[in-house]
Amino acid sequence: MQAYANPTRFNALALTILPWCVGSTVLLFLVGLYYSLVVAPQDYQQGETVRIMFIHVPAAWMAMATYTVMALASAVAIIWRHPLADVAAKTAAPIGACFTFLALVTGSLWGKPMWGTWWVWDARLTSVFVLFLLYLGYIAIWQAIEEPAKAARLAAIVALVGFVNIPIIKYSVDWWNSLHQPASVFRMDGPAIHSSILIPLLIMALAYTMLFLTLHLIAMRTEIMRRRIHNMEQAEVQG
Amino acid sequence: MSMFWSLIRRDIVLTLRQGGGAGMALGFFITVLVLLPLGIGPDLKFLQRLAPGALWITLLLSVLLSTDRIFAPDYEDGSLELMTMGPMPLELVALAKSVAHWLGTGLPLAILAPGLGVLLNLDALLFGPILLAMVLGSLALSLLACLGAAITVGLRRGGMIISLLILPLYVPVLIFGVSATNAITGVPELFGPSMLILTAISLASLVLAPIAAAAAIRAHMA
Amino acid sequence: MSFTAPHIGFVLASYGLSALVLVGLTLAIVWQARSTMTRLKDLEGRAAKRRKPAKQVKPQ
Repeated sequence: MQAYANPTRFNALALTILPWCVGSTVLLFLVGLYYSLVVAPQDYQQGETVRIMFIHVPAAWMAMATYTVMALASAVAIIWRHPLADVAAKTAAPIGACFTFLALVTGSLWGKPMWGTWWVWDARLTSVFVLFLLYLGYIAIWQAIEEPAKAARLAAIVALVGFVNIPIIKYSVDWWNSLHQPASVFRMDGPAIHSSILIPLLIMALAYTMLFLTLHLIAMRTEIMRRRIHNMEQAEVQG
Repeated sequence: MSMFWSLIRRDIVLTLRQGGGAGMALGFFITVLVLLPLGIGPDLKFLQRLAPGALWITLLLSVLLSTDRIFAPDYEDGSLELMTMGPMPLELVALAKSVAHWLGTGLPLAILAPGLGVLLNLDALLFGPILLAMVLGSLALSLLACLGAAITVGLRRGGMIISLLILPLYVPVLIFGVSATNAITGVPELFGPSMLILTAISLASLVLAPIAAAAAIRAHMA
Repeated sequence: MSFTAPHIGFVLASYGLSALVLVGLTLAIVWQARSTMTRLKDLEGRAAKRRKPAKQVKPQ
């Protein structure tokens, strides 16, 4: 791990892995989309709308996974001051925010035909919505502070506080919902998962994961280059 | 230890003299509670159902409104930097500021809530529960507000970011606060658990929020 | 997939929006990478030029 603390080494590693990442992402998406749109049968109750699950659930999974990556990177940044840790956290945020946005919107587009309502305040939707706000707040902190080192520390604190808060919110809203006994049980995954549904879901989930990995690596390289540019510009000014 | 109490005393005196933070919060509190019935309609039964939630939300927003006054004055005149270098651990400084904020802003609002709840036709049975729940809950609100203020001290658009950061932290307090308030007229057995969880949130914040706030202040001062 | 099924609009909207956002994100990240790389190469070129004049003066 210490070996990859060196940005140059990281860049070299990233360049070797990147072609494989891009290739597998494209392949997985092609196969996944074929399975989702052609192979998977219509659902007995939901009809064609069940296909939304193949892009909604992976988005939601990635939204949470990305935040976990951000929180872990932030913890490493604060505790061990690994130089690449805050780069990893900073670059993961916009990607995670996009996944969260997609999870929310595709969820609404699935909910409307399924349950007749665009939104419902159950624990899962509420916590994903709050997750979206957390991403926005985290990105805002980076934008609002000019010195990179200061921004990194504050952003790390924000990420960790948010990470602790998400399960608390999920628990609170769950409890709150059980008090008010919602009209029906809103279960996003449906009653049981048959293999004809499971396989497209898993392929798409893998595709989304590889997409994240690819984009994250590229974004990290960009950020490392940006910092090098910043240093070089300083050197130029000082002559 | 006496430094701790004198810091609290200093902050409260400043709050009372300036009237800035607490006064703004109080004014906002009253304004919203007057405007709500005017906007929602005079249906007393409906207002009564709305009252606990509306009172709690107004409390949250009022406390949120006064957050920028927690650290900003000290940051501007340099006393925050002195506090960072002083003999008292920064965590205690943050705790003292939170407690001062609670005593100066959160607690007064909590005490006024039942009385002002009359404007929303709050059920008289709920006067006691809402007072107790708000006194306990407002401590958590002040602690978390202080954390938000510590993270955004000196930032230009801090106000916008603060709401984004603190809102998720306030959700559990709101949920359990309203639940505790409503219990007597709803499901009485829930009063105990809700109050306990609310107290737990306040106690946990009492320990954790100042630690995070101190880390944030150090990051700003570095 | 049958295009005449009820609610097919929702399915198409979901896939379309997801494609839009993900492709847009990818393009943005790749574009940023490219332009940063160009700026870096520029700067490195200028830094090399600053060293060159000194090299030409040296040999006697």
